[in-house]
Amino acid sequence: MLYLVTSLYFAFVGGLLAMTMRVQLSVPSNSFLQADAYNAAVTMHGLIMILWFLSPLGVAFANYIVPLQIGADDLAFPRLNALSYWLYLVSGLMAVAAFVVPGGAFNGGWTAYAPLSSAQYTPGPGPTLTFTGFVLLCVSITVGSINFITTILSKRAPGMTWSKLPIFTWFTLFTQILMLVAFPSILAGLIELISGRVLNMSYLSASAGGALLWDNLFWFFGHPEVYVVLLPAFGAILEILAVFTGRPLSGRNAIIVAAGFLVVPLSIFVWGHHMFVTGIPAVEREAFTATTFAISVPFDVMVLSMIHTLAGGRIRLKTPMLFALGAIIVFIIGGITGVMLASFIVDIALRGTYFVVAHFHYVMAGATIFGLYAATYYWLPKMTGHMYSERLGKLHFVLSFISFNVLYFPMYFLYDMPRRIFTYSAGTGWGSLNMIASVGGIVFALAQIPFLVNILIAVYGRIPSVANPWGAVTPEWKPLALGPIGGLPKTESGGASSAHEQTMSQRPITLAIGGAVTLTGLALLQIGVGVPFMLAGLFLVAWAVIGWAMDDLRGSFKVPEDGPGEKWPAAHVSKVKLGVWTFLSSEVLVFGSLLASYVYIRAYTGADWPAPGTIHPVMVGAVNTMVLLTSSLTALLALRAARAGDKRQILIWMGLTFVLGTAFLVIKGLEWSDLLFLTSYLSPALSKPFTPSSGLPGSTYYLTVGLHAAHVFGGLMVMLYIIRRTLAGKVTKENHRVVELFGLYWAFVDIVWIFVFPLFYLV
Amino acid sequence: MEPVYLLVEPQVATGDLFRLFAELGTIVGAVVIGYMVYNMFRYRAKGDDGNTLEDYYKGEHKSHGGWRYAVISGAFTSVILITLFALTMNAAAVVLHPPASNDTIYVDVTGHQFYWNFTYPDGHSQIDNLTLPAGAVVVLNVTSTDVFHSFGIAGLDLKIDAIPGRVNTVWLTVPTPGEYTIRCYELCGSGHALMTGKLYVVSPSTYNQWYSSLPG
Ligand SMILES: [Cu+2]
Repeated sequence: MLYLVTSLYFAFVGGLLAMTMRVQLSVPSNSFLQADAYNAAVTMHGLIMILWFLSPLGVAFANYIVPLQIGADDLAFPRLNALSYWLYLVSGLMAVAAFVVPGGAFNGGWTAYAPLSSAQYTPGPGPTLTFTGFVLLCVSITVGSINFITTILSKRAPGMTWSKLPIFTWFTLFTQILMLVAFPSILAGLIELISGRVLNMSYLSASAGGALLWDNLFWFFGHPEVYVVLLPAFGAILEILAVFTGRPLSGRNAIIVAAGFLVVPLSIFVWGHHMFVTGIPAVEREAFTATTFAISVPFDVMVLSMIHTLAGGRIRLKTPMLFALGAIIVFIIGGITGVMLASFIVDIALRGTYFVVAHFHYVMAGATIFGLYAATYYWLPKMTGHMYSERLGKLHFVLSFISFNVLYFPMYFLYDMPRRIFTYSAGTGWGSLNMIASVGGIVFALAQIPFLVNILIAVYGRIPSVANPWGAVTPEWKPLALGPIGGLPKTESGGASSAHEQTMSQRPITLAIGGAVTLTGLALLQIGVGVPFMLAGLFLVAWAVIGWAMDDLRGSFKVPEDGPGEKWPAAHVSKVKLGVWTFLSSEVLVFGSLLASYVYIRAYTGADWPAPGTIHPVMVGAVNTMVLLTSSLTALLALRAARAGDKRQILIWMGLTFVLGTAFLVIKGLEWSDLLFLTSYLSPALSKPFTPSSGLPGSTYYLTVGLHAAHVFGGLMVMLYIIRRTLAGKVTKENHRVVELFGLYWAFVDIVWIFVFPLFYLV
Repeated sequence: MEPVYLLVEPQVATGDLFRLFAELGTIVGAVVIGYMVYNMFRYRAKGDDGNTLEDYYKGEHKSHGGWRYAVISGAFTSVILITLFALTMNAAAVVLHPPASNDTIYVDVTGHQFYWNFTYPDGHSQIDNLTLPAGAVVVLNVTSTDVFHSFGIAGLDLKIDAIPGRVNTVWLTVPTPGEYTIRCYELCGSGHALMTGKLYVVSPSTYNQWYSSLPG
């Protein structure tokens, strides 16, 4: 519910920005907004709607419905769930707060194309704050998807087999997998972007390659993000279609296969269709057209199966069903125009125009919002225990559906008008279509009033609902399901005290605020007042993390210890281990993106790169590699000792691992000192300092190696925790999972270094 | 300068493909949405008995798999898409390959915040106005000195990104004299909306007269 309300708040902010734009564009040569204000509105509208409204709204339902549908008492990691929510909230507030920070909110488009996004062209800490907010959102999303994936894999109730899994949960799983794959790429891109803005590093501002590097990183995230937004809505629509036709879905299994085994993998290979006119080679354009055409096949199968479900059904046109059908109609229109844009020749005509604006609003805004409205009406009686007003709901639908089309359909005919222009002259002939769109937009905004009233009606309970008002068969409607209707209330009573304690933990909120303060400080470094913020923020983060660890040592928060998941494929794997694996796969992608950036930009610049051995001493690097590899061995021995339950041996090997890890960082520190301050501790001094801001070789080196070092540092902290835990006698033969998980993480850190070392030292 | 003999101008090939896609899309969209709305009303529940999914499962029904329907619709879509891909490749043969010609005119186009600079082979350059002869093969080498722009000519179905550190090439030929608006199609800062120019297509003789009279 918290998620729902928060995302609706961000929808309000994003909608308000959209209104100012529609007012400005309603007539030619209007002076309601000036260029920069308009550009900020267009940028923040996009960012807020996509990142802080649409994706989280899908998550809001997943949060409530998925545990009920799979018969779990809660998500796998309740405290991580809280952390994910608080990070989401503070990250959104940071992005919005950028409006009042010097420099203002970012105004270079939500796509933030480089080098307009650099400090040279959009100066000030305001835009940086928008991006650091985005970084925190990436963290929130990653934490969330680890939690959801683990939950769905390992917390299904006995008997909840994959073949019985409700389709909304299926689609949530697909969404979360896509999030896990897509966000690391933008996180890497944002790290490069922010390091450029704050530390004057030169990734994206590189005169050669920077612009296209960002394009690749951004759209590798950006296109899957469309499906991240869309798939939860589709999941809800599919549930609703079955219920309101009174018939099982036609081709349910075909739909699951189409979404999970075609859309999800294919969506990773279509990003280049956003780059058809960037001058990428013809063969790449052809390939991306082919993959994009290919991905429309599973969508077509899904839509036609939806329509086939209608045939032969007994259709009840209640509000959820109306919105579901409305969503399908706008999706068909958006999808067909999407196929047009997928042709790299047709795209030449349409790129950067209002045709594109119309297309993605039909798909992302229309289909998603209507689908999630359908979800809201459908599950509202479950969530509140009261019925909404059917008459108001229908009014909401009719007004929204008509005004949405009045708003966006005319834009298809503005296929010469560039996107994101704040004004146009009367001679263009675009005035009347824009006026129609603006009228549609204002009606659409007003049409949301009945929706809000309806939510209030349901929350403040005038019309009590029966347990299963729609005659649905999925588990969340069963009389014994948790939740307001017909079962145990989720938090207050019913022996749920342990669950109650967990959600009351203050650590997640402290951690989220600490992260926000730190990253705000990072943005404010640009005007020289960031350091105190960063120190305060880091203090909060450290306090929260240490507190969290101490809670676990003391066992003050009873985490229900469920054994290995019973169900394939999570059999014999504990949920924590599953979570760590998921986390590591996202980490692999972050480092993968960074290393790919390095290789890309280096291939682009070609010759003028320092020869191997001239900057980075190979011997020092090799020794440090040996140190790190040896520490992996000692970590392994610590694990062996833990398996045998030998406390003394655990302490010896863990301690040795800690010493080696520290040695690695010390050598790294001396090396950096040599490079930065010409100290010549380990190698002869260079003729001039090699700094992060000294150009691409410096920027790529310090960022990649620095991030790796940060991971080593994180490992050291975990080791301290393990040693402390061992001393407390809590690492035993029976319970040594923490050592095993640390070993996994430490192996990952080593493997990253095995890539970093040759790429930076040897070539 | 004699016009080069051409079957199709690249921007016309693009525009024609766009219109063809739009027509096909409209038909497909109308049929699918029409069929859907028809089903919606045709199968509307009458009365309130035995309509729900719960009721359905109480009965003796078996769920209908729907695999066959899904596979057929997928195959049908694939046939359409393969056709569209072939049409795209067909147009690409024109759009991506300027014909060999001794009279090709090369113009360097550079995007700046917030204007376009055009440089002719003789070194003459001018801002925001591009003058070209009708019928000639013209190759534009497009780049930017500052941020990411996108060079486009409204009404000519022609667009190419102007990216710093990179030269992108596009070609066009306009058979008859006329006047078009050049615009920027990628947000490039506060002056993005006003980053417009004019393309003047003039008769070859007018062009030659103008070009030879240029200073330097
Ligand atoms: Cu521009």
